[in-house]
Amino acid sequence: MSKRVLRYFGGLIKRQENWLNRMAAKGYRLVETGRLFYKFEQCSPNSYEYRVEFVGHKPHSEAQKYREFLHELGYRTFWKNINLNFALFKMKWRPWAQGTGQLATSSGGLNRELLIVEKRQDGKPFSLHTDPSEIIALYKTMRKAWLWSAVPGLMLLVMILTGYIKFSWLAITGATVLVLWGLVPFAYYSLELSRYKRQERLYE
Amino acid sequence: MRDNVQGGALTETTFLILLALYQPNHGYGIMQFIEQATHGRVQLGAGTLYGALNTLVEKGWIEPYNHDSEERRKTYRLTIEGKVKAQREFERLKEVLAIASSIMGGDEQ
Repeated sequence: MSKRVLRYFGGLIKRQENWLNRMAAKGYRLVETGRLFYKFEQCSPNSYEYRVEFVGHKPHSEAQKYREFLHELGYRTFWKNINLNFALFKMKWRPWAQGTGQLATSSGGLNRELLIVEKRQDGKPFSLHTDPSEIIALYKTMRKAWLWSAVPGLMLLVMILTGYIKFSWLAITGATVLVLWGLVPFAYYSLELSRYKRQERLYE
Repeated sequence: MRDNVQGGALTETTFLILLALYQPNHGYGIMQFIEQATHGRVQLGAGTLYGALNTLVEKGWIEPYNHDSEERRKTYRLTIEGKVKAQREFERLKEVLAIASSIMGGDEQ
């Protein structure tokens, strides 16, 4: 029996991962993802485990090659959008991305910023990244991406406060929401990064 | 994965991947080799392995090797330069081990 669940996690990747793992523990295996929904099928509880990885900074062809590599290793993967992305002209500029990944198009990396990776439980630990310098670099990329996401809201806020846009509480609220949209995940990944660095120092 | 360029030391991950590729091998085989050879102490994440393989191909220490067109998985093998690097690391580790043995040797005290 399949089950469709409406959920949106924004930039909180770890929360999404934890939720998918809680669903798997209850006996629901992911079979499809949409912009705002997840479709599951029933399975034995705790049969699968999930990791969610940010790949939005990679050129789409590179993310696609990585995905094929994961398939070679026997993992199943699903693309997932990180933003709701109502982009103009079906493309988006990402100043924080690598090479051609800076221009995300609807046929490329737009709405394919995350990879959900599924592994059949075998009692062994499941980590996609085991190298500390690589994990730190990944956190830094995500932090940068979310800081850039706050820029349009900040610009809007400045324009309202300097009188370029007519002041209204509605405009101020909208701009603040836009700023927080980027700044909350930015703060979250900054904290995660410093927590990880502290932990690494302990094991050095 | 950062190898120490000045001192010439390789990371454990790099050295183990080079050892795994003395015989042509694919990603899954490399992971299995490392896990078995280290009795589960080192377990490489798939993303880390992917990044390491790309870096080593760029450096010219390993190369894609698909002799069997039926094989869907991408296979790699060590290049001559990769063998030289692995041999150098082996010599370096022997030297470190000799220093440690001269100081710590006969540790049954």
